[in-house]
Amino acid sequence: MLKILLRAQLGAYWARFSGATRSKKRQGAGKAVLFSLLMLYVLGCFGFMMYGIFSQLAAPFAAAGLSWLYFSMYGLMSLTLMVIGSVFTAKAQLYEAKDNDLLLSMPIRPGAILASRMLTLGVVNFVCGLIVSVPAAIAWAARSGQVTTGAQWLNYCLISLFIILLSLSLACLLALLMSLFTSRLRSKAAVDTIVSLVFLLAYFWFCFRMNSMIASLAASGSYLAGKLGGVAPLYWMGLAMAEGNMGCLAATLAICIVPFAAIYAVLAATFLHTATAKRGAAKIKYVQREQKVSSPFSALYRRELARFTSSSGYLINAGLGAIFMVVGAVVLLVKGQALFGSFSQLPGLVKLLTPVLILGVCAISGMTTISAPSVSIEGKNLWIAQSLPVPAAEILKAKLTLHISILLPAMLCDVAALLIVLRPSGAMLALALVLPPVFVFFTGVLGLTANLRHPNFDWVTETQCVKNSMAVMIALFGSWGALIPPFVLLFAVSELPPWAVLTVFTAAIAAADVLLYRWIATKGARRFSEMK
Amino acid sequence: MLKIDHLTKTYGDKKAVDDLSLHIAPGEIYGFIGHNGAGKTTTIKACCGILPFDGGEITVDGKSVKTDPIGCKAVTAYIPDNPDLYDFMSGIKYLTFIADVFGVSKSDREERVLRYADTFGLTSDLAQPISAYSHGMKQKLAIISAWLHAPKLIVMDEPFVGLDPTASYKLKEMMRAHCDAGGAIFFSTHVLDVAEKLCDKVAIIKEGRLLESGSMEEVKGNASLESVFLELEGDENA
Repeated sequence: MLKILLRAQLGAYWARFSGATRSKKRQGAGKAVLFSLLMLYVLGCFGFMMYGIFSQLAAPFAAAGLSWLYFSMYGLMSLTLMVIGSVFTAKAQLYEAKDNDLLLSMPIRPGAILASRMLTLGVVNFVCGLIVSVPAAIAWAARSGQVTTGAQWLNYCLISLFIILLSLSLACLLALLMSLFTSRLRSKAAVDTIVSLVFLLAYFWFCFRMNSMIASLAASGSYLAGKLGGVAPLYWMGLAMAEGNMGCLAATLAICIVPFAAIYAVLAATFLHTATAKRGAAKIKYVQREQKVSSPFSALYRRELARFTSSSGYLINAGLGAIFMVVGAVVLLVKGQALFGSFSQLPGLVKLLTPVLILGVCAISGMTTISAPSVSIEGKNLWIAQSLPVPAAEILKAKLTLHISILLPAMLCDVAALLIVLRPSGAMLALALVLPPVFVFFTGVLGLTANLRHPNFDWVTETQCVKNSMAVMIALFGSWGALIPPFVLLFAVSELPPWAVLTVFTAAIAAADVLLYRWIATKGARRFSEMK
Repeated sequence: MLKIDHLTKTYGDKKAVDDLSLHIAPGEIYGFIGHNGAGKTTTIKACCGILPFDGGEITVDGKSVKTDPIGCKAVTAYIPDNPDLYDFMSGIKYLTFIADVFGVSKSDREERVLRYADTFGLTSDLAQPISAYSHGMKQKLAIISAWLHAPKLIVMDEPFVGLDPTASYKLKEMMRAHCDAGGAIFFSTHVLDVAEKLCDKVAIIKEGRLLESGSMEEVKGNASLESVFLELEGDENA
């Protein structure tokens, strides 16, 4: 039974990531291979990043006689990554699973359901752990200049495995707290969005400052050893791996096993209650108020806006470019002069600065793909839009308007910052004012056209619809692809004046805007009406 | 009010609806009966302009669904078999959205929302997100949204599924009142007792083809609708 449940859980997990749909047709072998390769690539990228970090720490820590600190750092980083990587899954699987009623109605022991969910989380943690454990081991072997004994490697492997239990304990506790906190809130999407944004910003902050942080870590090994040496479990863990100390190994394993056993026992005893508990936001009683009347188009626009803002997956994944653009405008205003001051020394490049920046903000705007999943995201609600007494073109126009109304203000922030910092004049000033809005419109119509041509109503979660769709890929890479010719012309054909390149590009994008918009309003609208 | 003339719809090689003709006059409650997969939902969706069809013609209030779909939709309300509404809206926001799109005046929408929500005991839940609604509550909200814009024709697919007995009773009263006021209702159901008591006319469909249609008396005579339905199904199978 446990095997069947585990297979089902892992299958669902795979489907959520790979974009396998609810439809009966099986995912093609080619698509599965491609997705596996993509996953390997992503894991490889993170692995290389981790190798870069640990290879800089291995030699200085080993030379200073702080081998235990290296392994403590490894344990800490592995634990952090595993907890971050599994806390949301733990929340969804343990406390908010939607299939509890179905599974409990079957002749399955509740214990088996819990065990299958824990094992799934364990597998997720194991994969997250590999991202750190393999590069850390290779970096130590290659850079420390020390001979590692079999006992040390054995302890390394044992701790790498058992630390999964500790991360599960922490993830389960954190997930419980998050679930209790969000269950009483009306706007779960807002909390999810804020948490996701915090993680994302922390990630980018870490990436930008990684090199200086590692250098400072490597330089302050003794200070760090003094601090961390006081934390006994970390010291034991480091010592167990660095010196093959069996006593420290036993203590570390106990630290991993005991909390997990306690949490598992509590979860097992309360699983039935947790699975059947009816949580929900506090009931809001309706108070009759004067109703506002608005036009059909305004109602359609507000519908699109409500859908966009209610889904953290949609908001974060499709609206990320707009957030980056606002952040970019602030960075440009604060650091613009310092960043571009050095270009004034290079006459060949200074004339390209403004056009390249204009194209650059266009490229960032291409990351905003609000319109690209907007048709597919209708999903099982498609019948409502199709039964309304409004032309399909109006519904599509509302989708396009949402895209533009979110992206254009962000784009204008960038344009304003660019004008303040670079102070272009003449043709370049006109182009800085005209091209960005024309390109924003292009990203909108391109995404909508792609989705009308490649709709997919067969998704399981909104995030899956927003992230794993052909339309989003076309919108993203299509808008970036459109920017390649002007970039190439600017750098490769120096005889061409930049204003001429951008003028021709603006005209071409404007023509594409008109053509795509006309297609959406006619053939696209017909397609939308006939979708099922 | 609703005229279906030689409607044909195919999915690949399969004829889901085959040369179906029906006429629903103002003031009539018209029941549509058939086994699962008989073509009821396909016909209903075609009548509402949601599903394009291959042959025939459908007119609503004299307007063609093919050439004037917006005109038809403006006077039609549709309730599907599964009330998948916008989970990201509250009940009242959904009703406001429908009222805005159908151009319901401020005074009318305020009066109707209150009246129909009270009828179904849904008033206190209108501020709740639809995602928190039960199946029955969603069905009630779908019914309120259908009546909200005072359509001439109401097309419903299995409207009684998920409703509690009180709500079912209220819905039947509302259906009768709507038709007494000159409207028309075309609905599918598997509950033959309800159809027998409620409908003025009935049509029985099997594998996309019309087996029988007419007034309730014409179709069932002295027998029960259930026995007539089973007999017709049996004859076809024989």
